Amino acid sequence: MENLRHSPEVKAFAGMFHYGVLGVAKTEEDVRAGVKKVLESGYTLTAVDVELIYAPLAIELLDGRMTVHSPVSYPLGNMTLKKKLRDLEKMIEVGVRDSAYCLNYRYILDHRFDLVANEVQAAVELNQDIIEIEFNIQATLLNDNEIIGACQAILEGGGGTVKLNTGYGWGTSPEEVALVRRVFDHKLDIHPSGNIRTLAQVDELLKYDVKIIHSMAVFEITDEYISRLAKKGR
Amino acid sequence: MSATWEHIANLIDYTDLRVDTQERDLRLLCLEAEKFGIPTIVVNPVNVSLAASLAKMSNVKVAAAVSYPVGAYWPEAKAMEIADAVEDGADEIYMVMSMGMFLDGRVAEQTIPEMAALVKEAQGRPTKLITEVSVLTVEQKRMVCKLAVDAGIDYLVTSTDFPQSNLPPVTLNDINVLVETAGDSIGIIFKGDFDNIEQVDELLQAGVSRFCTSSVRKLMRFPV
Repeated sequence: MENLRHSPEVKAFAGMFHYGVLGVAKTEEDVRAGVKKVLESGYTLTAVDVELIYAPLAIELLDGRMTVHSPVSYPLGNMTLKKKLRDLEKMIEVGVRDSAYCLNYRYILDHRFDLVANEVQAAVELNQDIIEIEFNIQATLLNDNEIIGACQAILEGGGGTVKLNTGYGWGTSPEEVALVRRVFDHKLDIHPSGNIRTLAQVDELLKYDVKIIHSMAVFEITDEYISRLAKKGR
Repeated sequence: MSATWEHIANLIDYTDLRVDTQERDLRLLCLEAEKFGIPTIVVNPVNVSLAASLAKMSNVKVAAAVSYPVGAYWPEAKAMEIADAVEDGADEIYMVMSMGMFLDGRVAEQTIPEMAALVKEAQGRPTKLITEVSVLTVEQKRMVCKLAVDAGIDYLVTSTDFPQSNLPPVTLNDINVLVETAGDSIGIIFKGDFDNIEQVDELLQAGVSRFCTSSVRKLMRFPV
């Protein structure tokens, strides 16, 4: 089992995941503990997610070994565009290189997809490809037409990735991932998030060629993956 | 129960801070606030300008919930967000304090400057600081209360009441500590929803000054 843990196959599997230390009462101690846990795992995750205010600390602790991710207007998306763009600028300044940009859901629910596209475009233009941005929608709260409209607006605004749900109680279903993949094929990368806690759930998502997943249970899921490989005699 | 509905309505900040608030919800919020005699509505920053335009023809005031729900932003970022809300037409400012930084002990670099930013950028408008009282020790509750009084903040709000945060619920003991520390120096706002009017009465008896709630329709079903 220990050999498997450090195999390229397992490292590649764990490398798909984001691990987050986000929330209203998260402290420096929580961020330090989260980063320590990630580093001690020996895996190189896609990113470690922290609130912007803790990004400089996470960047210092990770010291270039992994990317630091911070969200914009998380998790409600209900801050103004001006505020969101300032936060994006600050992220560029402090060295954050991956972000989930929560879109204004009122525009989506009111079917003002032109305004959604404008918001995406403003973020893309400011960013100039410095930060990997996933545009975040609460797919769970949207009907199929709204999910498709929001994804289309992301593409029209120049975005290339949709993050389905924020986590924080709102989780992704395979049906949502399937819908986006079916309609947009590979024009959009899909990053599922929320309530993904088992290998069986990950297996379902991987059927739709998902490459990046947000999950607090990355280490438990990876352990399941290792057990499966061990059972297969790998 | 001795208070009249008019009295209770006057103590309510009618709130819609949901992720999926639509334009029609904001219209309803304004209409109901006016109809029920509620003085203030509370909305997310992106909805302030629309809510302000909807409320223009009534006496209803619009409060912006700045840095809601996480509050983890530097003081200068909060100052700019408050200034934006004022420019968009906010009559009052709610602001979530950075709980993490306070718990880290970064009072001088974060807590005091963010409280000062709230008072300064609100430019005389009522200021309402949101904390998470249930995660604080008694000493920490007292400290937040005293810092808010020193900063000149008008009200201290018990919690974000953001369900997905999974924080412990606010208890009567939490409120008693705040009320006892606050005295007449600062008002205490309970943020949360109600099943019945007795819960409102209990909090009034405990010394709570106002309520930030979305339960207005539920409360209206109960005779007072």
